[in-house]
Amino acid sequence: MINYIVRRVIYSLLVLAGINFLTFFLFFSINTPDDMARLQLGGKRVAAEAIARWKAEHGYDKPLYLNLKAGGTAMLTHTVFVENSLGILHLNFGKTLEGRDIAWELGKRVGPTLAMATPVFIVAVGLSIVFALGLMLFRYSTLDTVGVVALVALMSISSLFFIITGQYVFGKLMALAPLSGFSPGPGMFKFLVLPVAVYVLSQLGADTRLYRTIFLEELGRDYVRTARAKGLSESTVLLTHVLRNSLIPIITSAGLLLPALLTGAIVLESFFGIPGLGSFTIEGINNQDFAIVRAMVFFGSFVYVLTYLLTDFAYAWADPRVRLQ
Amino acid sequence: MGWGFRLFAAAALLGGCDVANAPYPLGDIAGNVFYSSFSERPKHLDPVSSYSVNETPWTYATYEPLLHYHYLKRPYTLEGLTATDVPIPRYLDKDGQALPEDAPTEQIATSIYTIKLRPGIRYQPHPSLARNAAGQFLYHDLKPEQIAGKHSVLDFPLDRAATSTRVATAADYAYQIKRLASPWVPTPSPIYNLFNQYIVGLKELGDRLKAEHAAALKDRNPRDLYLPWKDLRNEPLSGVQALDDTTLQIQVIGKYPQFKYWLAMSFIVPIPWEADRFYVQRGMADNSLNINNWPVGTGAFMLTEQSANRYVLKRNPNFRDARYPSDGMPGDAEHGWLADAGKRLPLLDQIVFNLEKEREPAEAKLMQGYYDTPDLSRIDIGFSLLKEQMDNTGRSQTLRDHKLQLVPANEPTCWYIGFNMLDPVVGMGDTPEQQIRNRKLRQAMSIATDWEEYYAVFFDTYGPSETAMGPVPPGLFGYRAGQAGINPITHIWKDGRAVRRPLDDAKRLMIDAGYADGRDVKTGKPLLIFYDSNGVGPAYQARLNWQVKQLAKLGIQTEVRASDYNRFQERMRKGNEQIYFWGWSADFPDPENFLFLLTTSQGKVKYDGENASNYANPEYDELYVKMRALPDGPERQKAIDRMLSIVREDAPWSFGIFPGSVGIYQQWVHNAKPTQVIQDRSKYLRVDGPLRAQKVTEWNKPKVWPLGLALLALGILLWPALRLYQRREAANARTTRIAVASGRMS
Repeated sequence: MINYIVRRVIYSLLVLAGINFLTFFLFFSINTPDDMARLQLGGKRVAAEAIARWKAEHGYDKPLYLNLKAGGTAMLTHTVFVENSLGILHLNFGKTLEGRDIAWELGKRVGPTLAMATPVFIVAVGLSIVFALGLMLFRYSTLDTVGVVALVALMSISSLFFIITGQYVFGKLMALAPLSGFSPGPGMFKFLVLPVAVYVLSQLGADTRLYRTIFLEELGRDYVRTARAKGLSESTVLLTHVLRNSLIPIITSAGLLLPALLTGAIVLESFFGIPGLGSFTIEGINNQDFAIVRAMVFFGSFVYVLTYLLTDFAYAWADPRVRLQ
Repeated sequence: MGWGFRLFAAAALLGGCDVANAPYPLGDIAGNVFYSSFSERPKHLDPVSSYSVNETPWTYATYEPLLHYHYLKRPYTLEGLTATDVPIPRYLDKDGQALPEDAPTEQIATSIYTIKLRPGIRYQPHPSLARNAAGQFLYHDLKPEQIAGKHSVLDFPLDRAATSTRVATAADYAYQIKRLASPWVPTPSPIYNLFNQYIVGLKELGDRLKAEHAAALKDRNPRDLYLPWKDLRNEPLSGVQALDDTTLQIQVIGKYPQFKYWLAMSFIVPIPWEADRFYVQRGMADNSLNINNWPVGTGAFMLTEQSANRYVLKRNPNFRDARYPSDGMPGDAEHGWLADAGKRLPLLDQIVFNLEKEREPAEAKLMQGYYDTPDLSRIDIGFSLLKEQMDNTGRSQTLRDHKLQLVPANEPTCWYIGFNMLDPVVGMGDTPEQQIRNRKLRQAMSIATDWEEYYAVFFDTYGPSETAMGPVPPGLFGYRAGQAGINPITHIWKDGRAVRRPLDDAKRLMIDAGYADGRDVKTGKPLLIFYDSNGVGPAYQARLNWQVKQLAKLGIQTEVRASDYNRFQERMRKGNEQIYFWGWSADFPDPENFLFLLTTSQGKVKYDGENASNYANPEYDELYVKMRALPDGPERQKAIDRMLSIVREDAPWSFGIFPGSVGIYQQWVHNAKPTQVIQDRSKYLRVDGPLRAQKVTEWNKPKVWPLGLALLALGILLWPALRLYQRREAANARTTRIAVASGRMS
């Protein structure tokens, strides 16, 4: 077990380092430090001298990968990559181009994101399981067919549609919830109802359909026939046997949802004005702020890697036959 | 059923509330608070660096320049703000001898601006100024551990301070001017390179500080570039002197009458040295504590809260006795813009800005009454609403019911299509024959581009937008309306109005240019023009298509190169564009601020200036220098007329439109005279909070019945499901056909 953990941690570190390099490479394939400076300094009357000063002050005045003017190891170390990118590997997130501490910003923003992500995760997974089990009760009936059609329809609709419709119907027509905004503390509840409902709805189609397929597959197994032969009711068969034995694929798919939620539902946070990690990512991209982009990609990768690791442990919990080696 | 009932009861309870969708407490909505939104956090609140329009609601509310524009008068009229009046410069020759006011420009070596400040102007309460009874600063010698965990200036309490403010002096203005040149200020000034050409000694100071700064950083670990405070008070700047606490003297190289306008911008405001001394302490920057985030000023408001989604400005308790103007323009009284004449400013207690990344929720919240204006920094977004109202489409009835104020205004802004004069096809040309051919091609394209149609389709049919006949917009000296102001290359005067020349005129010019029917007569190949635009996305595509159609009228094929702003600017800098779409918003209301865009010294490729067309005409340049130094009057008008005549003939731009603006304000907002030039307008605004609360309640009554209907529909759906489930549970082997193997069950 310990060997397994050590091996996975080493793999994870390599993955994170690779992602860090790729982020740097991709970012600076599109943007140049000059672009960044011009965006920060504004479009008017920006002199070359101001750009040079900005780059020097933000550490973007050196070559990106190889400093041919420097000698020895400085050829590699006196570069934008080493000075601006490697720090993140010892969790130094640095500062935004406006001088805000990124670690502090992450700390401030993880709250709103968690406040939205937690109920979404619980409700979306829970509801999807309930609906999928419900459909199992009526499988191959007209109700099941109607349900599947509805699920496909839900899957086919863009999340943007749900957002705009949700805001229009509940925020505007019915005036039951604020259209956008956020407030810390207990006041956040009214701001989160609508985005959580919208996110859950947009997830419902795909998740329920997946779980329905999983349950269907399980229903064809021998232990189900045995359970029925014992005279158990259909609901007992589903809830006690089928659900338990379907947990591994459910954990896998739910595990994928969690990091996506934690790194911020970008469009959702943007439309609902939630100052979470998703809107921070958007801010970084719009401002061509490499430090933010790098931090958010790193954070996202870290959450994914961690989630996969935890998912593996969850497999072992859900299925005693699984051995982590 | 139990759950359904409970849900319905909760919904009914919710329905009992007055307003369920309010993003703020109703008490605040009834208060003296102004609500607006922002789509991007301000990048710079340090007056050294702040130059973007979206930062102005904060910078001009917290800082006070020396001058400002009269809030109501048009054309815009400068007057003293912290200065007692607009300074009139004295002129000296190269030997330091005084010259008369009308001395020839070439004789003037130095202009001296002596500015008298109003006495007793005090800074907002701020920890950098906090002293104990013994006069010692409370927060100037903090250890990093004392700063750890503090991320707001409010984390440094002022209750122990005997004083937390002081009077702003002339030395504070001098200090700020030195900051413009100082590399110790964390973000560079976009305006330094302009100012160092005019303010005596600023360039030398900047060069000296730059060298010192580089020496101080030499051999430093790039991960720790911390430098202690640089006391700029001790740095000599020959052109800027604080003669006494209330007298500032600035020496300007040569004659530069437009300098007075820069005195009305936030680059020259009082900054206390104590603020830099406070923020430079080790640990402050790590916690985002700097002037860029937490300004210190003498303005009507002070920043008291900021987060990713909310900024709050509160009334500065130390703000001086400033009054709402008592005079304005004809019609101002009818608009109610003089109702608060003589009242003490600011009229608001608080301004709250909320983050709105997307336009749709921001507009919807405006219609619900939760924003008093959508974006305090902009008034160019009201056209769509005005169009709906005038065309009786969309939300026109709601707009009328809500009595939304949609107030048009002329603003000094222009949009145009530029020709790159370095390009062999549309540019200046190498030989005299080529020059004539290219010029005729540019003129033909200018005629064919129907800007009247452009603004009618995409912009503003009912507002004050108009076709540009030259670079100088209406409202500025030098602009001529009517027949005298038309561009004879593209327009004729017919039936009392300017009419675009017929397309045949353009086609004739195309023939003269050697492109009959859009084909090169020598090669027979169609003329292909590359059109650079920084507008991308579906919303912009219609405009690009429109442009392609304009040139297609002449048989010209257009290839659009739409790119992001970075790539667009890069092409401009390298001169790789052929024709391009761009615009300019004035820094100040003087024709110089538009005419300089076509001077040789501003050439984008050669000098990295603002002349993206790289247009060069010695006569124009000569007239520009003359015009710049002249006071408004017939001689200046004559020079401008000739300059306009030159650029109309040469056509380095297809003069597009002067877009105008439409301010959007709720019915309870008072004194909202729309303007893009006057930036300190928030202090004049007033809201009727109780009326807002009443209207918000009226417009946002929760409608719960659809929820009941939805629950009913759900119940109807669940009933057969329940019946089916019960039937299946009650079934036995005889009545049920289970085909597990095939997976079917019925």
